[in-house]
Amino acid sequence: MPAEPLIRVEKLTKHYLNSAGLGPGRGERVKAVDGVSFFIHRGETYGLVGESGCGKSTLGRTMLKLEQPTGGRVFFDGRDIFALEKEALRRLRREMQIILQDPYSSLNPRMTAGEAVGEALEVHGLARGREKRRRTEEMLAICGLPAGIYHRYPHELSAGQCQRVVIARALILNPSFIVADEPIAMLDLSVQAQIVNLLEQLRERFGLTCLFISHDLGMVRHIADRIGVMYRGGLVEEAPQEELFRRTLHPYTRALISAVPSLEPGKPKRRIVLKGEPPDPAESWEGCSFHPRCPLAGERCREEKPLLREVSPGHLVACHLAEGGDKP
Amino acid sequence: MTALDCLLQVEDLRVAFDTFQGRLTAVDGISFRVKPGEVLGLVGESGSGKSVTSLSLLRLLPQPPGKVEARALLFDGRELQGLGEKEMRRIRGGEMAMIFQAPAGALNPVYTIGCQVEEVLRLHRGLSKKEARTRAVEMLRLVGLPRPERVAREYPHRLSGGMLQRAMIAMALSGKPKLIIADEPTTALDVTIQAQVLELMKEMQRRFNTAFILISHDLGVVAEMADRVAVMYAGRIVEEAETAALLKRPLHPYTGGLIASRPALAGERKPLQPIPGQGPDLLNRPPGCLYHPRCHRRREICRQESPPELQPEPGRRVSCWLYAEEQEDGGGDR
Repeated sequence: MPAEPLIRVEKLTKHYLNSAGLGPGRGERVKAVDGVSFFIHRGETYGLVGESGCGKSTLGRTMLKLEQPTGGRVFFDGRDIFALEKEALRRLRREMQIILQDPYSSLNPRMTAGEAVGEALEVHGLARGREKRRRTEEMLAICGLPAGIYHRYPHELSAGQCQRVVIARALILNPSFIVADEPIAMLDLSVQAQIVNLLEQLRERFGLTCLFISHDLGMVRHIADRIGVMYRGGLVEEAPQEELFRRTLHPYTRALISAVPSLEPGKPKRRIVLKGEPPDPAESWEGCSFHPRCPLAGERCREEKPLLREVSPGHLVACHLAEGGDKP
Repeated sequence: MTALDCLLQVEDLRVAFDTFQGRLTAVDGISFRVKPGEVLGLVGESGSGKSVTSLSLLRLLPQPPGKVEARALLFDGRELQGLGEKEMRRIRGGEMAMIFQAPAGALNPVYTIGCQVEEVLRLHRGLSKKEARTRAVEMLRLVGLPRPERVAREYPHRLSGGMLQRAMIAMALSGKPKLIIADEPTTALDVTIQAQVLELMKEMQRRFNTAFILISHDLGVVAEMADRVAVMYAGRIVEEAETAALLKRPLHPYTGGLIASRPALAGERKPLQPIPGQGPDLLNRPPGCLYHPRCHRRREICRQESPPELQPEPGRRVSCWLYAEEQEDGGGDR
């Protein structure tokens, strides 16, 4: 492993001021991302899982400075992204691309697939005219699209094809880092696997470093090298993929894994059904963010916030009850 | 199965829509039965016709543009086709209830939760206003809503998705239904909340012995709850079997494809095997087997002729040419 990871996030914080409506909650601070630190090595895929409202998408967007950060720093290849001048950041954007959940709303309905993908080359002054066309067609083909797609508009394409166009657009600038935010959540089951396989191929071919954000634990397990589990704006557990599933330490991670419906026939499941709802991000709390729903919560969990600590090499957990390797 | 021990019998249901681009066949002659207290899972991807099936059973599909035909739609011994709207309204929400995917859109935003549960109790159970009010709170407590007295006074926008889905289940159960049709009841919910709602539905099913048709694109969700599973593709049921048998040994290549395209949560990581291509264009249905353009085991005959429905094992049916040959020459290349 190289000494310097490609992406290093330090105590990243994003708070929103609730200005919607006139009801209760107005003027409160929503701590969407609250002091998150992690890193992604070159060529590595980091999976970020969590339920809606946990802050995983905000984290992905703020890392790329698509949202103004409240605090913290993000280093890309050793450079502090938040400290860059506007023009320098714009140049760096070539290196960092994002793929979003809804392919239809990610594409301009009035631009053909070819125009959408080729535009990026022109904007960054990399290619024009015939050269642009050639490179665009090549990238569309690499993403598994038929040749005739160049002149098609988004509404003429299926959701899976649209997502391939979005991926082609992200990759045509030859980035080194990709944030994929729920890239398959809107697709049909049989198409999801196609897109995941495509992402895996492209990752190999272009040596990409990825942040794969998803609520789908199975897919994250499939694609990620390391996985971070997010709850209420913070990481509660992080471990290499295999380790996370084999030696799950945080009670939330364990509940999350047990909640996934399994296709194993006839295997009675010991499911941990959590009480209550995922928390309202606007509510403030004391102690462990998970304690109101935790089946194991004790006195200390209600009073003292557990810090993320390394219990074995590469396995981090924020839980008072998780000892070294023992189950709490 | 005789007609007597069968709560719902659907024979040759066809649903089509007349569109500007021509006639769209959404459901293409499907038949299935549901026994009292049984959970039938209906699995399929978008466009497979699973939701249209449920809507046409309850006669909730606007006609025109829709056109619903069936050889029989027998519910509890009664033919539903030809029933007047007044009788249909008595069945709908009473003996046959529905749980929709997006609870926020299925509830009326300008009435309180309590008011909407009371309506069911008054219309279908003949309770007085006062009785209905007490009973509504009991129903909300039954489905595990915290502080049900307060929830009853709240408007839908004040509740989370999971709470709304519990309220919907309370509403559906209020009419003492014999059959509940749950169309993607957990799709809009987070996994931990999905687990809660599935557990709740299982508990209610056991407690009241209500039959369910559970519709989902997620084979996993269906596998959790259903006794039997019917797999739909392009408006047809391509395979039906008991849940365990279906998962253990899927017969139809599409069913096998659905299972193989999901990553497992345990064991070694294996490459995913996606089903190539996309769902069929319902306006231009391919000739022969509708699945053949995507099927990795297709043969010449699959391109030309629609496969017959076969019963390779008792309690199991599949529409695929692979098994037709097997039955004829007692073997084949399986």
